[in-house]
Amino acid sequence: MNRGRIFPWVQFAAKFWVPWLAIFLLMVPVLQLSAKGHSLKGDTRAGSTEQAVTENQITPVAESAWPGEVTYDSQQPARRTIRGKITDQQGAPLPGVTITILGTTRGVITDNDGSYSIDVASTDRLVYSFIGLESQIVDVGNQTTINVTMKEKTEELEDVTVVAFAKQKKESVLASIETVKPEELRVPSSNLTTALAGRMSGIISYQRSGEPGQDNAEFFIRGVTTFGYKKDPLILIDGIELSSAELSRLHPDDIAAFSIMKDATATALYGARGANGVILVTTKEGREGKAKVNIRWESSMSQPTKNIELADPITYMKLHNEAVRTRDPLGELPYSPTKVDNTIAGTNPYVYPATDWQNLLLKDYTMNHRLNFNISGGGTVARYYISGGITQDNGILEVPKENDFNNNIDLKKYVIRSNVNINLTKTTEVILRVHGNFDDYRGPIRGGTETYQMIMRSNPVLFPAYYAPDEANKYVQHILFGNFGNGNYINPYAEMVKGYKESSTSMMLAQFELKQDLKFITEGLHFRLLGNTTRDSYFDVQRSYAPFFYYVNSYNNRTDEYKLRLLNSDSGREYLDYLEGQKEVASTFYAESALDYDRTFGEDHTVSGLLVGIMRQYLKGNAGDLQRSLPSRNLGLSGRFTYAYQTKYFVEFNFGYNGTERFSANERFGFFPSAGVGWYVSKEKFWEPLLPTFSKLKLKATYGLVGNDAIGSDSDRFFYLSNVNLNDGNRGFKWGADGGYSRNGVSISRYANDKITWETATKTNLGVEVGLFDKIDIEADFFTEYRTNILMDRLSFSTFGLQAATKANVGEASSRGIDASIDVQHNFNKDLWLTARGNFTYAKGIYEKVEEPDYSATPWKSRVGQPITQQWGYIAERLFVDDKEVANSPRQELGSIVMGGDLKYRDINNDDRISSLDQVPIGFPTTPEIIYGFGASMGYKSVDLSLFFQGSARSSFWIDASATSPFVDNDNNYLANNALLKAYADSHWSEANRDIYALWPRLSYKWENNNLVRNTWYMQDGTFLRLKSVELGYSLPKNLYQRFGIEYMRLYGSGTNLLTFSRFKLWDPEMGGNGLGYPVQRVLNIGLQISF
Amino acid sequence: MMKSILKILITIFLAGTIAACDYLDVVPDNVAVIENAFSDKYNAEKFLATCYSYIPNFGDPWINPGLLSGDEVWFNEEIMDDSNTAAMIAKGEQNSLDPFLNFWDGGQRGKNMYVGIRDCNIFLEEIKRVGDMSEIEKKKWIAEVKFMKAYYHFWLFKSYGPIPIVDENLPIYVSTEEVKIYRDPVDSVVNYIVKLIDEAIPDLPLMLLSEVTDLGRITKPIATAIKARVLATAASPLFNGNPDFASLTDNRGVKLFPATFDATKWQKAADAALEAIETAEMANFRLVDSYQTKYKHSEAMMRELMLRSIVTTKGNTEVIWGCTNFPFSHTYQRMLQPLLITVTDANPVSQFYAATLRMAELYYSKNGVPIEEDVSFPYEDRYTLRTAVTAESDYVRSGETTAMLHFDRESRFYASIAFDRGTFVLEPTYYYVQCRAGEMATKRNKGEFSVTGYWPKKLLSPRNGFSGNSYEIDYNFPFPIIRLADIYLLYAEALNEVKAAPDAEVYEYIDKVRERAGLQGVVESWAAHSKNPQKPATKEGMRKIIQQERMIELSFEGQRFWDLRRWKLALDYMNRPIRGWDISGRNLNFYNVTTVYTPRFEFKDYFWPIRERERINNPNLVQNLGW
Repeated sequence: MNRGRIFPWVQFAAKFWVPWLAIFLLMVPVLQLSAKGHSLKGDTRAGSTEQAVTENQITPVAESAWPGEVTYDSQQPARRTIRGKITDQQGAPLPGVTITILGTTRGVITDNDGSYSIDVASTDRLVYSFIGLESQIVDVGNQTTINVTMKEKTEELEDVTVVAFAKQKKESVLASIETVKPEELRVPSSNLTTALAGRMSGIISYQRSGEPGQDNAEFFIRGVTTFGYKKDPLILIDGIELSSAELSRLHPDDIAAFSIMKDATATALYGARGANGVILVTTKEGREGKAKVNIRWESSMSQPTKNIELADPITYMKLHNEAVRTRDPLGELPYSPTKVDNTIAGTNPYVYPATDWQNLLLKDYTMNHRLNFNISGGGTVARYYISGGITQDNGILEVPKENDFNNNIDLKKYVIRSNVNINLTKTTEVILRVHGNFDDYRGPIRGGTETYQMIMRSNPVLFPAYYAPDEANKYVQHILFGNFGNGNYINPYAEMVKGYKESSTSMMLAQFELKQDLKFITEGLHFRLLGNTTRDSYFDVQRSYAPFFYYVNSYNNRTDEYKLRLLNSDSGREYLDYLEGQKEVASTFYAESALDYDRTFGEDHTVSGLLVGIMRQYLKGNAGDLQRSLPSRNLGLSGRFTYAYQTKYFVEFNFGYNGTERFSANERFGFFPSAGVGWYVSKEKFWEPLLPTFSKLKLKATYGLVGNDAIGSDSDRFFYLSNVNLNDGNRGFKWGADGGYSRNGVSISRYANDKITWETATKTNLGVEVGLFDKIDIEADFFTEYRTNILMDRLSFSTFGLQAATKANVGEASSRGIDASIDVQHNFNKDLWLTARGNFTYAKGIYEKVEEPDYSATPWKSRVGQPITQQWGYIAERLFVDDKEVANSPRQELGSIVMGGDLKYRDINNDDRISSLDQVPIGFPTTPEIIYGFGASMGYKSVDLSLFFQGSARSSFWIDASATSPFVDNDNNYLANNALLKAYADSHWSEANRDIYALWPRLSYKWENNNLVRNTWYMQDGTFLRLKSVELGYSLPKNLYQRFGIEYMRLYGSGTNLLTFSRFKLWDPEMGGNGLGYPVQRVLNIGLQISF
Repeated sequence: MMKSILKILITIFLAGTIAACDYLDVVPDNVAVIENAFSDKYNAEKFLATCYSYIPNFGDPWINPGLLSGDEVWFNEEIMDDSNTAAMIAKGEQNSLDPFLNFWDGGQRGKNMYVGIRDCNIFLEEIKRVGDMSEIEKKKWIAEVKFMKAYYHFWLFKSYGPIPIVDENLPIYVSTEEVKIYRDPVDSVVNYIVKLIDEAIPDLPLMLLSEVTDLGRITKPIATAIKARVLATAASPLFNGNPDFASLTDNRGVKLFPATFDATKWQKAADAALEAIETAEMANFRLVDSYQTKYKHSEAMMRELMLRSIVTTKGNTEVIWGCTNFPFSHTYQRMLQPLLITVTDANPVSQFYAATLRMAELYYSKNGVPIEEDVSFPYEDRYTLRTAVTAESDYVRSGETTAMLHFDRESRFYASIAFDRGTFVLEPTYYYVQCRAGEMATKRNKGEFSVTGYWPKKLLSPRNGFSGNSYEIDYNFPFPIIRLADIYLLYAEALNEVKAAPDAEVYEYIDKVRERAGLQGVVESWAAHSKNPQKPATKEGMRKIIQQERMIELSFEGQRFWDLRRWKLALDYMNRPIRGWDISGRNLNFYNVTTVYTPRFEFKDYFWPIRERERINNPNLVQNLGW
């Protein structure tokens, strides 16, 4: 579209008129209110009389918010007596149910065993009502016994959809919103984000690590359509923006609705924040009725989905020797033949160690526990929902016996939540929500992932974990840790044992919401106000001693005695020291007020309107520098106007008008409109013949703009200001004979640009909803998106002499795709039921315009038209046969000397050398383009079974050649030797076996850049399909526990990540190239669910 | 009640909407901007420091290519990993993808010189704003910054040859096309650098007010000395009519190297060197020729100690410009120091900074001529062994056996190189080096050993010392960038090139350097001891003599790397194997000459490659030949 001409006008209009319009709309009710004067006095009670049972009521009776009293009169002349028993859905008798005759005030109440009797005439109709349960009306007729099973009130959410700032009737929703049942998200994990992949259409998700606390999955709505820094969706929990960490802690049992908003109509109200989609979660509220308690306990066994196989220590030594000599014939052998021979012979395990660090430090599995409960209930005035949960996640680190501390990862998470709704008047409702998340972590100082990595970087033969004391060290108190050289090699055992870290994370959220029905002004008008504050804090503390490291100085092989040498007498320390770690505090304030209007005129015309104002501030206590310390703020006004005719034709207009502190005054506000139309085809007359087969057909289309203000980076916000450090030690200079006269210098980390503004997405969505036989629901959306104004670094020129890249809104990207879901529900008979569900998301985002050099001569280098997470690399043809072939091939000067057995790359541009110009797009993007899931649940009597498969396709990943290069030092803190993967030991090029298609090239003891640059040799297909979860449940027979007051009890076993189908075998494919990180976990779980 | 609640709520709503504009303006006044840097003298001095801060860390062998990228020193493989970028160049692994020691873009341990040049330009544009400074002082600072700007251009010039001159800064938001600048031809670059230095010289002080606070600030002697070096570099074969690079032409057709040799360039170099010598002498610089100590030493030892103190001693009279920002500290000195005492614990010295066998062979015999020319030196038998007699104990521990190569050498050999069984004085103690396999000065920890059995002793002050389990140093000396002997030899070199045949003028300044080393003049020495007694009489012979004199006198100071390049001799030197003694040999098995590494040097290695990324962004930058 021609944004250049239209957009400024729209912005102008928006800037000047929208606020005034808002003010005007708000003034009307105020004026009306004043005019009405005292009319509201005393109305509080008046409402109750309207609750008397009247002829107008239809079945089922609408919920009464303020019920009246019922007179119980037994003096009426007896005509006929009806008897019966009232039970609930579980078959338990219900005392206290009110039975009245419709149209009268006469009635009775059931006694303790739920039975009643009432005198009626045969034309009477009986109304059965009970707090919290659906009222029922029964025609008496000729019956003498009427037994009634009272049902729980069906949740409103079944026929309404949560949309931005409001709820809409499902049939009238035009936006692309996917809602998932909270039960679908229940996996035996304390991390909700791991359950998202494949559960609902429109989400692209993957999980790279399995470490407790660090195992959040990454997720994107409809893939990635930007190359700015914020790619992931806005997450709103009860309307409040929270991080994915908070989302991960939510318990499915507490969720009332979980929706993702995908297109412009769904997200436009979020204006500058919604471009990447929105995840909206609503937590449960209490409902009228007696206190209901749900308890869920789970215990699970967790183990890596796949363990990394390493070569044995002897092979390690031999190949390490080979690695040195094959690169440098003069090189010194790391292990003497004596050492190799003695290690093979197993002479003395301390002198000739062969340590299996994995085995020593990792457990086969670990146990985790979770306990959750919630209590809800309430009366007509106040309702409550409170819940709490404790989870304990343990790591897979082995705790050695010699250890002073238990250093396995122990992560405890506590969650409390309290949602209280109070009806202040019959039109005023106040909701108070308090929610807290608290984490306590205790574990190794460098965390699980790093500990795991250290294990993968430890030399198995240089030294043992620790020594048995020799003669001289008999009385030494400390552990005699093994080490080498100066004692600065990695000894992961010592690292793990030497101390521990404790950290605490707290998040407190308090929210106040007020809802006012303004029907006294005009029918259908409501006002809502919400205020929220969130406080985050984190701290950690470390306690550790400094290990004493020893090495075998001399060994007498006749007496089998060794003498140890202390390597670090000065740096070792027996007693604990303490280190204060990070401390982070932050606060968020959010306020929202909304005025909405919803009314149906006559039969045919439904109109609704919504105006919302929001303000938000985020302030960090320890941001690090002045500019970062300034608050982040947003301000917005949004609106929605809908019109429906005969619930067949729908139109909708939305807008968001948002401001952010990041941009200069001229660019600060942005206007994001969107519109949609819909047609409920199957409600047309002409469709009636088709209804038995095509029970539903709805078509919808939306188009609009959404923005993204999170550009640049979190710490780089004020683009219109330069960032100058006038006291930079790194830019200073020292003069004087002893350098005694020094001055700090000046550095610039950002150059001002006051033109920088929003990233804007133009989204189009075409959707269709189809129902078949009333059993199968299909929803499919086709979408396109065009993203403009993506912030990018300008092309850099060293001769320009700038200290920081300059940025501009020059990037453009587009995406298109499909997301679809299918739901099948079928009850074969009253005992056997089946539901099946499948969904599919395909999203492909590509670069449309990027700041890049002129690649017209080498078009394959250009990013334009390529997927956004596309990788460029060299095409590795095979390994070089020998040095001669290297000499006769195009020169490969990639930072290391190339020899036979190194990777041979294709010279794409035929300039007889391999340079960055020979890098071409290789493989699929790293973010999967397809995510899908399918599964089924079935039940037979009291047994239920569900299976769920999840898959991912069209992605590539690369084995991290640097991290897996055997023998090299890949650690920043210590000297280290990378472990040798068994796969590499089995298949590598060697002078003896010149396998030019071996998995690993010629060995080396150092980095060989030639073999480390991104290339096709290490490229892997990221496609996988996994049996994501299985659950088998059994509802225990009621007679076992009914007498203890328990209503329902279910025992179940479940598992996640049980089977994985992939072509890649070295590690779990979902971890991508990061295979030597903390592995993704397979979990087997048993759980018990009790309600009373 | 409801009414009042509503009123409150609506007021809040409205207030929020109306307060919109202010609510988002979170940035307070007084956020730092670049103009603050020139608000007063105190802040401007910080910017002056910033302009100085791009001076390379001369004393850091990982960063100064002069130290480790040539053939003077070699680290063992355990230290020479990929992160040792300077060593990667020595091995011949330079590449254009991500060049080592990249001072053009600021990568692989190189500083970004163009950022430095831009900062200098900012300083020159903005310094006039400063109110509380006298005009004289401003002029001095401007001259200093102009010199730095010239020096940064020179550093790029000697590395890359023709380079883009950045005389004025481009505005930040300029079109991409305007940023795509061209490399300027060699002669333009040299003229520009010299012009800048010439502009600076009049406003620079001859001497510093205080060495304690000002050493390292640019003075007239520094500026004239560097100007001499610039002109000598431009006159040298690499730049002056080099046929190998004459074909380097950019996409406008501009030839970047002068096609023909221009003899007047040597004349300019000679004039500049003389100007530099006169300026330095006016500022009281003179060759170091004595050593102050309270201990008694033999005359020969006093000379050795004097030679070891030229660059290592505080307040010496010879170093014109040293890198005060990055002194040669304990961290570095312990790398050069062989372990000389028995220690019970961790190694106090890391001793991996090894001199190559080539350097040990470079120094003259005691007669002041090359060992291969000396009629009395057993050159062919130099690797055979003999035992030192008592009279030789200043140099070799008496009664100990070592190679013939280590006997009968000039003082600079003993002052510059530590070898097995050689005497090593750390005043007042006379130690001797023991570095055969299993002995004291061999590998104790990973990487902590000399790979050749030699160490450069010259950079260790005689006043350093071992104490208990530690090693202490006398002075964190500013690593020399240029010193008086260097200009003497440049002058001799330039005059030799200017004149048809060498004469007394040519001999004068080289002989001053030789005299300080205890050697006779060139003519006398060659006449008396050389197989080729007429060598100093010819221009070519004298050129070789001056070159060897420079390599000896300035050994281990980071000059040879650049000299071999400008003389176009690197192709010859840098392809010879790096050799040393067999450090795995026990006892006398040590004395087997072993090849440590065979580096590669190709014609293209005379210049750094321009990083490929930069060339792709700016195709107007033609790549250096061969890359």
